[in-house]
Amino acid sequence: MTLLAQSRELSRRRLVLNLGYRGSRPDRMYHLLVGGIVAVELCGTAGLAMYVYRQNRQTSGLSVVLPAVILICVYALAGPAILLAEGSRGSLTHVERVLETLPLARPTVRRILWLPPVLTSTVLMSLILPPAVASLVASNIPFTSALLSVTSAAATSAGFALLVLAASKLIVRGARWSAVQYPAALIASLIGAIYSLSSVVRLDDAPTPTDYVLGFPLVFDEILRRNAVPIGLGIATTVLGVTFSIVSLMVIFRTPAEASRSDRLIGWRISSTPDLRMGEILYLIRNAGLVANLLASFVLNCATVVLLMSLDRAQGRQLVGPVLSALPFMAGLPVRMTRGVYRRVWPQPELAGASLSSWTSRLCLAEVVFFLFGISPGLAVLARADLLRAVDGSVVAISAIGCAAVGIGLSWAIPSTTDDATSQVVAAWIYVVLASLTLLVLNNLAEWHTLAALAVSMTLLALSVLISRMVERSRWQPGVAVLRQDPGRRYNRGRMNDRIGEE
Amino acid sequence: MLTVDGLVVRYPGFTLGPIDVQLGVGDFLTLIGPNGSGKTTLIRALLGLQLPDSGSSRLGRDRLTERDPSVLAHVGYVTDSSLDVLGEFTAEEYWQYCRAAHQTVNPTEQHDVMTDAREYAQLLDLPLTPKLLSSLSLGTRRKAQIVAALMHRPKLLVLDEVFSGLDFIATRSLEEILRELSRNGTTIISSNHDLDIASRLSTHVALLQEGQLILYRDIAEMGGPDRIEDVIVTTLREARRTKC
Repeated sequence: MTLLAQSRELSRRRLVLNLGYRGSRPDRMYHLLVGGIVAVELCGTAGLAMYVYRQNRQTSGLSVVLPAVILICVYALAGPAILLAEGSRGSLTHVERVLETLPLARPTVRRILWLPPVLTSTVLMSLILPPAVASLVASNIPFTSALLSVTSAAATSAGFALLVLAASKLIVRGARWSAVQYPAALIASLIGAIYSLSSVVRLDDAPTPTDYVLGFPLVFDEILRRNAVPIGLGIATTVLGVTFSIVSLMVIFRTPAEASRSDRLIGWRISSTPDLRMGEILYLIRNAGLVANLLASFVLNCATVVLLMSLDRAQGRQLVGPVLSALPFMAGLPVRMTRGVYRRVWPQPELAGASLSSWTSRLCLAEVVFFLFGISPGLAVLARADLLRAVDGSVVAISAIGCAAVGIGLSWAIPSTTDDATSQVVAAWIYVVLASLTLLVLNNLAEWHTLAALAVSMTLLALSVLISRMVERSRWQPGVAVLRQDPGRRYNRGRMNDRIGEE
Repeated sequence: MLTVDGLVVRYPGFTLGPIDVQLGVGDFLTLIGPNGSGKTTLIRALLGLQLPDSGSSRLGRDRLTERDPSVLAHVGYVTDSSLDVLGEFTAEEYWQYCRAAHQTVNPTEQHDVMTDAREYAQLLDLPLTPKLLSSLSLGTRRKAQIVAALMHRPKLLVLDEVFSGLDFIATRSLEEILRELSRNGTTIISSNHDLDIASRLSTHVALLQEGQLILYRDIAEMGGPDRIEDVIVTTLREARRTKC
């Protein structure tokens, strides 16, 4: 087998192992995974197309709204997907160091390191594009227009996100900042999506210079106005996006990271009775990847709230409910990363003698704090009494509890490390699907009976905390053998207490 | 054979060098120094993995710092971390990968690389199981790394704290292997904290302190292997006293 073929094999195995597979047949698992993805993709595409078609037939007004929503979704997902795929290079430190021991020229090493991102981005794009095209066709948009508008949305989104990433890499080159560069580009990409969405409000206005730079708002505008995209415009914006992407990737490719200076840290006051809850939160917020994602969700929620506040009274009242339900959705996304800061098995607190129950409680508390930080921009709505009257507070609370439950539960179920972009992408997707389903179920339930929905959301939250404890117990199990050999050791006391409680 | 000429690497708050070292065929240089003194930085810089601010390193006439694959094909390198393996492969698959990388430079092998690999594995007591490297212990991964560096019969072998994590059987076996390689003309640079091992293997010793080369000598000049510890302790003490 050639080096390239073996490198491809390596990339596939990394993908499977990063998803938690620990068996002896990763190749078979990979093929099963691909088969599963294709099956889900086909079913999802067909199902979505049928759903859109049925909705259009039932509600005539939706034929205008649905294509816009689909295109915005493609735009909002394509850029981040490409960014996360590109970010998977960051998890290849050990692979890079192995390649450094071999007689390979630097360009060859770079090519091998680019294989996983290419594989990941191909998988992600193939997940996004077919359902979108099928849904647009089901919305009575001609196939050519559907294809062009979707490729245009994906290309311009990827181009814009990569452009921002390249710019941030040029401006802040320190290796430590790499964890912040991606969320920065992610925010820019999502702000681009929100800006494009705002075209709905300013439909009658002439295109602005920003529209021409982003490209996508022009296509979006055409779809909104005429349900079709001129072929020239579709091709031009796609080419623009692809060109931006290529140029940006070349810049990213050629920009080396600089060594970072030591950073100032928030200190932990050491006393005879240290507050471990504070220690846990401080430890977590020293992880640049987690902090960057927390800030990204916070800034995005701020931008959403600002957009909401800038709307006139009638539009604001219509949108305040969906917006306040969307804030917890974003706030739960970084919470999902918390457990991944620690090692998957034998996490550091276990080795330091922490007890399972107290550590899981502390970490769950930290997750709740991070979640509250994420949704805090929503408090600004309190300042607008007219908006406040238009919203059902209990539904907002139910949505928040539901998203927090999904974020916390996933954090423990899939503890992907913050520098492993591939598993981050997968975990993020699972979060998006689960949180959307949870919101859908809870909101429907709330329409029927608010108290029942509240009870279900509270049960979900309690379940997620319970799951955290159960899942973690299996990860701590190997430590029990050590405990049995030397139960008298002081640092094992916490674990011993757990065992005694268990028996 | 290996010439390091005025090598300087600067980080924020740290400067390595200038380092000047010359080694001949079959020489064994042990790099010694406190933690953070610049041993790994020196190794990475002389292999061209860390771009030096000035100076260069050459293997024969070829500049190592340019990382020409045809030159690197004569270098075996074991990094300072046992995690630096392709954990998604088994040991044999990992060696196959390394072999494929070497074949991009030398399509026709001069010897059966995989036979050599299996022999070294046997010497190091490395079981050839179908398990992925990521599921094996750090010491076992270390052995797999060592085999990968040795199986191509390099002219220059660079080992960064290679003994850490090895069991006592493998440590003794590796000592034997290195002694044999050095005898047969392989030039070896090894960073190491164990002065006993250093005294048994080295022909030269280099001592680094805060990035500065404060001692670089032939073992014979130091009064023989038994004198290594005394000379190093005295030199370090004097360097620290001078700094104060």
